[in-house]
Amino acid sequence: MRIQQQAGFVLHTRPFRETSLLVEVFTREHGRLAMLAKGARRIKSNIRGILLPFQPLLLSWSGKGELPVATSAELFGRFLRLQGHGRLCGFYLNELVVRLLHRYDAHQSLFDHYQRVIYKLEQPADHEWMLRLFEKHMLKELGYALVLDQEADTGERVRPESSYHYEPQQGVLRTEPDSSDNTIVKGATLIALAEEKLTDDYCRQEVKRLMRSVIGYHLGGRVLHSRKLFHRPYKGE
Amino acid sequence: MVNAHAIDALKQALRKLPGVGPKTAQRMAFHLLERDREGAVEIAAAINRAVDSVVHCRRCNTLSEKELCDICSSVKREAEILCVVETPADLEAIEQAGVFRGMYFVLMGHLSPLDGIGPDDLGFDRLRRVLETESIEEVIIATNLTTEGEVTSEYIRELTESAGCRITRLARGLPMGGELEYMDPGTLTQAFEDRRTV
Repeated sequence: MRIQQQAGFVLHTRPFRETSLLVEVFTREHGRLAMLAKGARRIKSNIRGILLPFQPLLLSWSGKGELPVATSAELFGRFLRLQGHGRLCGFYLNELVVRLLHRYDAHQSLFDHYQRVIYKLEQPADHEWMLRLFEKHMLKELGYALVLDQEADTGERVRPESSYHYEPQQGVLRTEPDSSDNTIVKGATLIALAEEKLTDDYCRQEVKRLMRSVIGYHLGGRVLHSRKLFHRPYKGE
Repeated sequence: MVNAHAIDALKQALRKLPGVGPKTAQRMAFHLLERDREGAVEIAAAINRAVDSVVHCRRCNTLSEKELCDICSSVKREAEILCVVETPADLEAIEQAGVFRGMYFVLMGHLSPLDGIGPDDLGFDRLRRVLETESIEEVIIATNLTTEGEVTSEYIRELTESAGCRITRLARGLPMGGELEYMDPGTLTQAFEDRRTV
């Protein structure tokens, strides 16, 4: 089976044997898959400088079974240069995709979203909020869409001034305000996330905690290592 | 049955080598047992000896048979210049080129969240100690030009900034004998970015 010129991104590469690379990719039409890039680590390889994360590529591969062989990789458009915080966010996105998307399931709209975020990560912007919206979209694609605007048990509309818990298995549950419990979020935050309109830093913090707990639930105890990279103990000394 | 166990154990053990799957492990095991018993004894002894005697150099973190490796204990090296590399193999490559006369620090890997390797798994704390206790004038960051190497480079830069020394990164661009026509766009972009006055 030969597959030609598919839009995709490299998520991760790993050395394989002496000169080859195992490449994990996210393609628009074929979802996430792994392929073998033979000889890609040789000095003369014409794809070693192309099979890089955060670059829009056209990928071709052939072969049946678990591990197809990459036959060509071309840059589709301009060479993107993610740096600093943007690059760390890119790692986080890739780790999310690798850990949560099943292989061979196509998610076209999520792929398009991923591509938009990668392009935006090249410029200084509100990267964190983009990650939150991507997480939300991803959960929806996986069939775990967040229901944010009504209470799971009563069906009542969420009110901005009330306090809530978000239970990954159930949804929004109203609770009493308790400043010592940091799993509680304001109704206003839930509405902001539902409408995808960030209001203030307080809301940002609450959305971050909420998404972290929901993503954590779906990861089933696995850790996202790229989070550690955002923490810089040496910075600012 | 004892024999069968010994063969299986050998195959299992050989599979611990990188890039060795069940088939290759079997081929190696039968080769050693059928055709090269002497070689097998030699390998076993060499592994035992290396595991017993090789440690991390207490200064530069590279693999060494002594507490302080040959480079770190040499008086001929320039002690004010520190080159930070990912692996002992990178150190060897630079030594072979023979251009660098300063000291090294070996991180023993690079940051790679998708492989589960974070800051705590590399030698950043030891690097920090070197920067604090020695009078280093320049830190040369010589990590790979991969995405992971770049992230690692950034981390080193942030860690080094407080030491107040000059921080440089190995140049990026055209390789020796490189022809523009066949250059990939990433390399060309970097070459333009890092062009210099002649």
